[in-house]
Amino acid sequence: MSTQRDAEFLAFVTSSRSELRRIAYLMCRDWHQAEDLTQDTLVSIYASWESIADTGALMPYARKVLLRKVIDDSRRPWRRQRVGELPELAAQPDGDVPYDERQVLLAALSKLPAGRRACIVLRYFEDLSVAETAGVLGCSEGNVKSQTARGITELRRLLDAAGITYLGLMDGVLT
Amino acid sequence: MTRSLRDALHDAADDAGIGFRLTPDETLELARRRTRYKRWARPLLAAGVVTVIAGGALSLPRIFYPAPTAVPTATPRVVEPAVPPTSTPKLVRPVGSAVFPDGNLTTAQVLARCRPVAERAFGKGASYELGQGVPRAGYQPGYTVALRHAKKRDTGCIIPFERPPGKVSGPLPALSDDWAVKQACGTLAGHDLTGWRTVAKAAGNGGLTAVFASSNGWDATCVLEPPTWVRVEWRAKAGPYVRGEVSVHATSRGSAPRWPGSVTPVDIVKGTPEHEAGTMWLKADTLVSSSGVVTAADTLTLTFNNGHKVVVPVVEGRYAYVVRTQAAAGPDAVDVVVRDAKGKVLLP
Repeated sequence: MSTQRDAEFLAFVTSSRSELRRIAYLMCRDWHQAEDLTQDTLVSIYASWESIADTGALMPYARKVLLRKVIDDSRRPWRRQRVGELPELAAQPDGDVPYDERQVLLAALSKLPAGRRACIVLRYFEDLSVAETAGVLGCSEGNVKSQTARGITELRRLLDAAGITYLGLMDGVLT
Repeated sequence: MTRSLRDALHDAADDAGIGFRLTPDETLELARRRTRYKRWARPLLAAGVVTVIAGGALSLPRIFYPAPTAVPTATPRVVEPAVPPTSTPKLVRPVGSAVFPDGNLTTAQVLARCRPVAERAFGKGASYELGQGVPRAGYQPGYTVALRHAKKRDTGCIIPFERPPGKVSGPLPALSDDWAVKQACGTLAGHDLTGWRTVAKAAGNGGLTAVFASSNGWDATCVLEPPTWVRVEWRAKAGPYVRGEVSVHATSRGSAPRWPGSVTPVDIVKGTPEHEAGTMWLKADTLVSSSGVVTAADTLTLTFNNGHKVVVPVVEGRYAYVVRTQAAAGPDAVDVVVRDAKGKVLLP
């Protein structure tokens, strides 16, 4: 193993692992699983480090590997499903950043099909363009637009039911 | 309340205060091992297939599964000192400050502390800047920032404490030796914790966890593992030094809620090094809601998926435990319930 390769990998791990874990968390709603998926992703990237010629493409590649692992993981027949209910909204303490709102959002997000969820996470959390999102997910731009629009519509329905409104929810969906 | 979805997603995925089980160096080591394993496994598997086809008996060497290290089979469930208490040395033991000065570092301080990392990545004297906005909780030691250079690729920097982290040789200090525990945790962190107040601590099977409180609204959580433990992920000894993780977080209102929410119950047992003979669950943390430390909490009950139940005392909203069980590690391996002194369930 080259020392330079290891140093580059180490720098990449340090700078990217938090972002990757947060993406995974939004996809799977479990920090423990999110960290496992992030580790798996980073280990996979190390194995193919030499073949990634463009270092600027590392993060898009990492996102692609991570989301593939998340979606594969969610399709496994033997995976364990959480069966917990959302905490009572009234039981949650008041605060500047409502904890209950986060949980409602995460729960709503988890009800979307994985592909639509990935589109929303990449477009709204990662601020990727339609073209970049299509590149990560390996599908057409039209597919990203339609998946995002459907995902947002479904998300809005679920959040409306919980009494939560977000500004500009459709912004950027069609661009 | 109306906010943008982008802000809401960023809040929902706020990982402030949630540490990583593996350091970047350990991730690299894991990646190296996996790569080596694959290089060996492919030709050996091919050879094995050929052998089967030829009708020969398949007998792969145990290179796939290095021989497990002998470990005790008994499963003590009572929290006990990591090693028998030793007599207190007659040496003077200096006690540091109880104030944590590092909360919310300025950008200039972050840039200065990350200079060694930047110089390694960009060269000596290179100019660089922080490549992202200020996090919600402010810059604190342990937070990872991206360093940006005009021409070179970004590099990451884990904001160090005021001193570089040090190494602690085994064995771990005795749980009863409060100063030595703080000293070991402080050495690993790079910040003197000897003046901080120990609020909760536990030890068992060689591991040790503790929560310390500063006098100005910061808590430090410390998890120590002895060098003798074997990690399943590695199937190798960690080395001659104590492994550990120390993180500091604010206890004030408005900090990231750190409730172990019912939808992610395993969040409370993050950091689960696994023992060959079972699973070790270590955790030290502060129960913080958006209103501040949850001092009403009295106990925390862990119920593992093999039926093993452990009740952990909560002191002033802080808890620490070291539990060994045969339950397999995994996202749904344990359920967590927090109760007040009257037995009322506070969470979930």
